[in-house]
Order: sequence, then C-alpha cells, then structure tokens
Amino acid sequence: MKSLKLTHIIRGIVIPIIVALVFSAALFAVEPMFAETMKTIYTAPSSQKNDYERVKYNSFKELKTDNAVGYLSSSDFKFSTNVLYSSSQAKYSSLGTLSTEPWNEGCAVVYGKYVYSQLRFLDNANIGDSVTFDIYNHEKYTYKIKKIINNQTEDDIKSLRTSNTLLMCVEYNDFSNLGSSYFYTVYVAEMV
Amino acid sequence: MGTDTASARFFCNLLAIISALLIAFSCFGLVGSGLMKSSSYIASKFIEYDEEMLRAVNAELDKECSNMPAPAGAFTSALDKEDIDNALTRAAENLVLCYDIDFSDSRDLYDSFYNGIEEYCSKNSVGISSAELNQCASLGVKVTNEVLSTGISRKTQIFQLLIGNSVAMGFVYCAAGAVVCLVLINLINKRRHKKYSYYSLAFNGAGLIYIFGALLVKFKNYVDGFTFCRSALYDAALKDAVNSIINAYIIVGIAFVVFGLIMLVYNFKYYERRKKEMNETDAINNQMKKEFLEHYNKKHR
Repeated sequence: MKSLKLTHIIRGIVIPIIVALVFSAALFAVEPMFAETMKTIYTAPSSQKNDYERVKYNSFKELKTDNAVGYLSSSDFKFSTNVLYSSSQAKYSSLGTLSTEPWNEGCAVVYGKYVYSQLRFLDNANIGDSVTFDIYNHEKYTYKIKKIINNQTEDDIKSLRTSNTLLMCVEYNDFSNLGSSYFYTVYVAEMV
Repeated sequence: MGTDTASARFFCNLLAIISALLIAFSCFGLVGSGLMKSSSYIASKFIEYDEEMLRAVNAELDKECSNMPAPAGAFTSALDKEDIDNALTRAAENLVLCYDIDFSDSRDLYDSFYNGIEEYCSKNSVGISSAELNQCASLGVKVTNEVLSTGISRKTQIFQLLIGNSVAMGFVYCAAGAVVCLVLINLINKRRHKKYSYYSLAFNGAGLIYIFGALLVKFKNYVDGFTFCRSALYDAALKDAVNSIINAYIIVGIAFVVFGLIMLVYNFKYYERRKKEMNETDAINNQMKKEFLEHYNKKHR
C-alpha cells in the first residue's frame, strides 16, 4: 500500500504536472496554424456578388451610374481600387462625370473616400510613383504622379484638368458645412 | 458508489482533470475578456504611446501642411497631449467593439486645430480669415486622421476569443462545468475530507496549465507575430496589452497552484493527524490488552 505522503504527491503534484505538460504539448502541436492566423492582417471583406454592371463602351458618356469603368492599381505603393462610373457604392471609387477618355487624350478624374477599398492607400504614394488605369474593354494606361495638392475644391479640380492626365481626388470633410461639402487632396498624374 | 473503490478513485481523478481544464479555459476567458473588453484598460495602454503618436501626427502635419494660409508651425502647435489622449481613448472604445478607428468626422479635433491655429496666428501676427482657418483646421483633421485611423483585424483570433459574446458564454459554461465536477467529487467522496486532494489536483492542474502555457507563449515570442491593425503604434500598444494579460495569466496560475498546494497540505495534515490518532488509539488498546492479559494470567495461574 502506498504511503500517505506518496499518494498526496502523486495526486496533487505529479498528475497536475502531467496534465499541464500534455496540454502545453497539444498547444505546441497546433502552434504553426495558430501563429499563422495571428499574422493575418485585415483585408476588406470580398463581396460574393459584384454590385456593378460591365457594359462595353467607347465613350464615358455612354455609361450610367455604377457601370464598371476599370481598375486603378500601383505596385509602387501597393494600391488597388475598382472604379465605377459616378459610383453610388461605398466600396468603390468613382469616375467623375466630367472625365474624358484617355484614348482621346482626355483627363480621367477619380474620386474616393479615405477608406481601404477606395483611395486610402494613396497616402503612401510619392511623387514619381506609377499608377496604372486598366480600363474595361480598353487598354491599360500608365501614369506617373507629378503633384500632390491639398485643400482643393470641386472648382479647383475642374481647372486642374489637362489632356493625358489622371486626377485622383481623396475627399475630406469641410467642417464649415459638414456632410455636404468636401475638400480634396488631388494626386495629379501624367500619362507616361 | 463507494469512495474507496478503485473505480471511484479513477472517476474522481478524471473529474478533477476535467475540472482543471475547465477552470483553465474559463479563467482564460474571464481574465482576458475582462481586460480586453475594458476600454479603459486598452486606453491606458494606448495612452502610454501618446507622445510617440503626437510626434507622428506632428511629423505628418509638418510634411503635408505647407502651402496653406497658416504656417506649418501653427498646425504642429495646435494639438497637445490631452487632445491625443482623448483621441486614443476614443480609439480604444472603438477597438474593444471591433469598429474601425476613424477620426475624419471628429469635431473635437477640428475645434482643437481651429482654436490652436487661430491662437498661433494672432500671437505671430499672421493674418488669416475664418474661411482660411476652416480650410486649415479641416486639413489638420484629415492629416491627423491619416495617422490615427486604422482598420481593425477582425480575423485576429485573440479578439474573437476574448471579445465575442458567444465565446464569452462558452467560458461561463466552462466555469459552470468546473463547479459541477467539483460538486460531483464532493458527492462521490460523501463530503469527506478526501475531496480536497482531488480539488488540489484540479487547481494545481489549472495553475500549471497557465504557467506552462504562458511561458511557452513568452519563449516562442508569439506576440511579436501578432498583427491587430495597420497602425504600428496601436499594434505596439495592443501587444503590450496582450503581454500584460499573459503576465496576469502567470499570476493567476501561481495563485491557483498556491491554493491547490494549501488544500493538498491541509488534506495531508488532516490524514496524518488522523493516522497519528489511530496509532495512538491502537497503542492504548494494545497496552490495555497487554495489561488485561497480564492481570488475567496472574489471576489464573
């Protein structure tokens, strides 16, 4: 028969140590999966269904609200956003109705909010970085950022339009008229 | 079921091991969830980085706010630590609810910029209209938001574990399960003192799971690999919070082990005393028996 002391040591110390070691070893076994998940960074949730329409067009004027225009991206500062014509969708950037076609030496004006699915990553952009505008049913056009201008209004943007340019306009609040008026930081890029 | 049978002992040991795991799970959730759900706790961790955050905001203001009606110095002097602390407190409140952190509509920041720039301009005799002040303050909020705002990683498991209400209920069920196991051990042992040795197994087991688990996490530097959001400073503050929680688990683990050992020693002393008393009774009985036999033999010789 085991002594009283030995019984207590086994039950109160040895078994708990074995339990804790087995449990820790189990944690150790699942560690690679656990650690990998911990490194996962937030990405915008992907939509199962596209809530925009792709139509073939030769002129921006043929497009209607929420028609797909194309895709803006840059490998220089890890940026990408879908662009819809005059988008009403919160998760896409919007091509302004005053835009003219790049294949007609026009000026594309893209508006977006400071959110990850729109133009947020532009704050990593520097002068000289390249941006590609991949236009649905047409070609890809590459631009280089030449200027970054803060504190612009809609009227200022109209006057910034020149041929073969892309204006990427990030809106921010005009607090004197909160919710209905905006200022813009405009990234002026010229076609390469 | 008898308390001294092998099957009863096996069943009690099994219940004690199960309750050790349940105690470990439930306290893991209750301690972690309590701290992570407390916005004031997260805010205190964020506020430890307020000076760095203010420096980062001012560096960005200095870079972006040139060519404005107010000089760059007006922007960089507009915010003080209190403004940043208020913003960080709001950030913590959003974070514990798993909301993205965004200050683009912050009227408080706008007012701080407006008043700060106005004060700077009047002190330095810089002429500025109210429309220009509005432009400058709006840009100040925009630039500050670029530094302070961030998306939150909802995929990060620690948040799902510690903040989600459905999972928090799981921790409550674990606690209830642990109590049921301890009650069953008590009943199987017919409320006798022996139950404390099984309780000791449960608490020592739970405590050692915490200690071994936390040390494993520390030695493997898991926390360094965590990414909660895109802001490096928020990430650093949250890693501090997680490290503090891990330290709290070690303290809880030590407390459980001490509690378990006290019960073990208490139980051991009880049975040692009982054994001693039984030995003494046996000795008295033997002595009496011996004396009786001697007396009997003398009488009948």
